[in-house]
Amino acid sequence: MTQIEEHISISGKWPLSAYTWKVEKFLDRFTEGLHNKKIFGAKCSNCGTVFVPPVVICARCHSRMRLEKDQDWVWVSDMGTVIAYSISYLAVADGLRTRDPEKRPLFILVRLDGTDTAIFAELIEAPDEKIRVGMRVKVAWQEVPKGDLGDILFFEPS
Amino acid sequence: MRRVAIVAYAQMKYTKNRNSSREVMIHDVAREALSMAGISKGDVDTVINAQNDYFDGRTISNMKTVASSGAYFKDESKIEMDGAFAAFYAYMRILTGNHDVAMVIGESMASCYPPYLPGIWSLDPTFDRPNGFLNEISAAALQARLYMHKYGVTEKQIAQVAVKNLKNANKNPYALRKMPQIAQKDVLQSRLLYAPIRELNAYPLTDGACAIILAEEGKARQIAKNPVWIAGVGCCHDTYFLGERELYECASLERAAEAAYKMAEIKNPQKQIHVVELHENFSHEELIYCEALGLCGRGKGGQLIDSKTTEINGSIPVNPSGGALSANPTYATGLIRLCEVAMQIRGEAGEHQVKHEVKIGLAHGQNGLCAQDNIVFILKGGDK
Amino acid sequence: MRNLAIVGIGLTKHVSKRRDVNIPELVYEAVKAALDDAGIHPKDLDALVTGNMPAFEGINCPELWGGGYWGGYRKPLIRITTGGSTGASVAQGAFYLVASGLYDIVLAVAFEKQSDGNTTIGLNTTALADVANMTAYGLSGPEIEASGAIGLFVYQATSYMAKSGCTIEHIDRAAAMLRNNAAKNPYAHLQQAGVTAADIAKTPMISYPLRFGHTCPTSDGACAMVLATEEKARKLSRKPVWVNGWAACSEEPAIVGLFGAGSINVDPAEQRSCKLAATKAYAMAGIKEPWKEIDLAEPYVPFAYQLFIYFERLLLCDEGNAPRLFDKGVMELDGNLPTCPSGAVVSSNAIGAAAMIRIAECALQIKGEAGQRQVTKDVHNAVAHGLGGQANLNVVTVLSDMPSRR
Repeated sequence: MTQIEEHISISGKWPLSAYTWKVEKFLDRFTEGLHNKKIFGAKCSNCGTVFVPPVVICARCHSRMRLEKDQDWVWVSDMGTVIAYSISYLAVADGLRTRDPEKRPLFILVRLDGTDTAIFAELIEAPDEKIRVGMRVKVAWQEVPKGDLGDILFFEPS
Repeated sequence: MRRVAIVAYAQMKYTKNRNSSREVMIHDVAREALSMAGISKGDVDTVINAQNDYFDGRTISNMKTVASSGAYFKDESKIEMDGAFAAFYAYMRILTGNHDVAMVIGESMASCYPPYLPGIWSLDPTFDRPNGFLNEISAAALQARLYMHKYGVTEKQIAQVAVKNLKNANKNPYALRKMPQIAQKDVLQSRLLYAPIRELNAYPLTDGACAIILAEEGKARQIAKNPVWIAGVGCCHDTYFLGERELYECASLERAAEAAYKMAEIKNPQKQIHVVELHENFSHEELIYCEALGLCGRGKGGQLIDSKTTEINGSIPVNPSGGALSANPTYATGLIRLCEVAMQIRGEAGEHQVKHEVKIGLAHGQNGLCAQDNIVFILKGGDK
Repeated sequence: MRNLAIVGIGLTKHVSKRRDVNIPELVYEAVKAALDDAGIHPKDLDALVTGNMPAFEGINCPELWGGGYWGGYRKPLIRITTGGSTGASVAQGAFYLVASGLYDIVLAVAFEKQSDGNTTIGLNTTALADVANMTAYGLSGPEIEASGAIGLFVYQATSYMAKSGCTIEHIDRAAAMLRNNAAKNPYAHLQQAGVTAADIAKTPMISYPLRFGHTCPTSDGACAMVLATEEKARKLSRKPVWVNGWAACSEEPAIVGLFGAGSINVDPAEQRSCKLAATKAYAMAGIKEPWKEIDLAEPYVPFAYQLFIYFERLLLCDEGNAPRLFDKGVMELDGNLPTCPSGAVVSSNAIGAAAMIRIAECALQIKGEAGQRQVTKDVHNAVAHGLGGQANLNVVTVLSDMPSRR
């Protein structure tokens, strides 16, 4: 096969901004709870799986969660176990709400007690050498939580 | 060879802008189909999705529909073509004996993507795309003009297809576009898109999903008292270049039909097929397809519509549901055609049920500009 | 179900940019090679199955444009796409077409021309709907980027390391082995003969424990295979490679679920769907003790540590034991269960083709046509694996030099 030079190059775009993504409204109750330092999970009435953050459809039993009313919400602990972690070496974008800009962020996947899901967060007040899978951690609440997903973005060793 | 049947299905009211997320929409039809079948997600062996990344606005679109389609811990795959092709794949999966029950779901939400653009993105990027002229509608316009010129088919005859289908749609609770009082002049006076294609001769942008459940014979008889058997299927992919195809006919559909008829032992489609559901994006396409399927002679599409043979109370009703002209959630449309034929065979089509007995029906799906790919299913009711 | 075999294989050399061909032409190279290998003409094909990940080239359904170049003119043709596992899903589509009894000779073709697009954007489009929701509820772009861009793979790695005794040195050594294997593979993209674990350890860390040396490139490449029924295979090929078992299994995407919500895939290292798929595939192939009966494995390994995870999830050893076996040399080309002799996805990653190349490599090894990288032992049974979505779809194929005892 002989190498032929490039003859023609035509550029184009896939304008993603022209799309709409429809999303169910289901996080309001959850973020309300965060305001009061409470974490609510959605518990599937059919199979009992507890989701944090809540989901609309339970994959295990293929049923819809009834999240408008009080059914299907449970109050879960703000303590959990580290499932996995990583330390970021690449410069992550500016604007990351990291609490200590001098230190490489330590990210974790944590499973809150009583839930069947894992959430992503940054572990603060923890030297890198101490991090272990299985470590116990808890949410590092701010004085006055904002009532958004950022409230559970930070954990500390417990 | 194993026998496979459609045992359950679900449609929904098709809308311009559905007020729910895609995933919940899929979940709704999946649950309804399972409910009709009286089985649970655990009884399904394999799930095949029909969706398109450029329509959904996300890559690997089937990744996030695992929960909604019931594919959790199931053998799942995705056919990025019209839903009827997904049904074909599910059918073959069951034929091998590896699976007994399959769920097939197709969906599209036109309210989420810029209209007609995903079709443009399938064009050759070197010549066709930079030109900016070719798109679904302009290509169809070229085809319509050529068809009219070749066989003397008139705009009135083409408009009559829209009149027929939109009148039929009025009796279909799911259809989006219903026009009970529609007459030829409404179509002929509707807005011109690309001459000679007028707005009412073109499909409406639709949000919707459809699910069907297929099962092998033993399970089919347990699940449904009137399973609808897949007697024959054939598909074909034609060349991309419009200039290389004779646009006034549809060679790939002829070949797909030939394969399906052979498998189903249909020797005289005009006599043996009792109902037909076509995926016609544009009115003139229906006439071209009828010729390709042998429902009338070559070039006789105009006479066919004039003769009223394809009206809902004619001898070969075509699109009693209203077809794609009444609702076209693109990736679901082929599945909807299968669904509608199954309904007709089971006598479950309600107000748009055709009057004569339906034992054998034909469902069609297409993919690509001017139906580059075509697929034909022959479905049979009764014990055979 | 009737037996089927691979009778022809065609691959292109993976490189970072093929500026001399467009997609139909690139894929044609693999198709032509496969047809020639099988000794057939396009008119002998009964059907085609094809797929790729369209976000990377900006072309929706490229087989509409290119199908004619690949022998698809006026043939039955279907398109299957499932993310990273596309190549394997396409191959399985072809297996089903032949096994169903409807088609006798089928061409499976998968490809990616990543240089045509922007890989980062292509990957980001998997998550856009979720991102929209997460930002609406207070997470900022950089935070979402941190969780996504670092990616689920680092979490898969650290979770696995905690359970298995796998260390970062193991990963360095795995990467070195794979790069050296790739250097013997004329089709592989990254060929670094003689690279050592120490060299890999010097590459910059991206995010613990992932170093640059552990990660895959982005490539332009294509792979095609001709599948045939037993009767036709015996006529066409002196050594058909029998496809005896296959299965796939899907679970929830890891870490970020629907709309940015919770996913019940808690531990991305668990990969239960891989174990389920492997169990089914082995059962179909009549393999009762894979750790004894499988001679060669090609798991889908875009990041070096996955060599160990998927070796275990393909049931080739007890969980947690893979690093120890690796230390004993089991996975080397001259080992007892050579793994990724091709150099793995970590050395060549044209996303659409990658999972099919795993199957092609197993077939070449069974045929004894793998040239310099041919493994020492005779290969009778081999297992190939593909991973798709957000580590949520596992596709397993079992090949053999003898048809199944079905």
